[in-house]
Amino acid sequence: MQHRTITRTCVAGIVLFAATAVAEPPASQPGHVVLTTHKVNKKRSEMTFTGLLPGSKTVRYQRAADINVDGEKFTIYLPKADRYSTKHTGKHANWLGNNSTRVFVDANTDGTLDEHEGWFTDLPVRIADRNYRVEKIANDASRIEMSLLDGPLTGLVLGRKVPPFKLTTADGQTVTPDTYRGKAFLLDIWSVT
Amino acid sequence: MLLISVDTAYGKNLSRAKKLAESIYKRHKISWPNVWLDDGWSEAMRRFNLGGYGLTLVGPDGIVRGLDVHDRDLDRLLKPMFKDAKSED
Repeated sequence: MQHRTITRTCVAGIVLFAATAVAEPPASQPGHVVLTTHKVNKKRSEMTFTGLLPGSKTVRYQRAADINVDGEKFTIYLPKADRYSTKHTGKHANWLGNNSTRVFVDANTDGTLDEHEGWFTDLPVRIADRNYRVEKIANDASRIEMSLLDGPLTGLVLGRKVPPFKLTTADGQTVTPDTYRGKAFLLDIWSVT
Repeated sequence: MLLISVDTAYGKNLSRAKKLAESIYKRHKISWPNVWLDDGWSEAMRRFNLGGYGLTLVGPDGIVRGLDVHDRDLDRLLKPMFKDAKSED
């Protein structure tokens, strides 16, 4: 009888230990952040924007998370969705065709969002002067996991430094932001096709 | 002005697009440099988070001053830059 009790206690102990071990959060790595989301204020839970093609698109938000980057606080908004994906498996990479989840970062912290504050999660998300990779979004939108990325900054953000680029023009010249140092310039995305 | 073309997104053969571009430069007397992005829209998204056509204004300090800028916005956005330059002189 005593032997059985000890065995049961041991088994229970092992099960409890195993459960505890599984529930233990992964060791935090430098630059890895796990953000807990909160409900979005109803007034801020909807955004309609227009794009290149006729018609407009309304995005509804349900949850948001705050993140501190270099001493500044930003809010990341998650769209209302049945599932979230950090992978793009579609054909097109523009905002109409990318089928990864699009999160929005209130980059100028004005409490509103615009189209340029949206980031597809298959690509680096720029927050202030850092790029993050979205590792995972919980199915119930309760958590966002992100990792700080090394390497050159990407993405244009209003009021922030233009990311570094090195491009070769049709006539073989190399252009970088330094080419225009001290001058205002326009980047014009276009096509003739 | 730096033109950044995403024509590669619409077909691998660029010769037609290049011919068309040349005729546009001539007709409108455009001398701005043009970059043909190898990977079209994907590259525009990856480098700049730009998924649509439009103008981005970068100030003399390298700070982005306008996204999806229209000609009607340019005066308003450029004025403070010239004012700053004047006060520095």
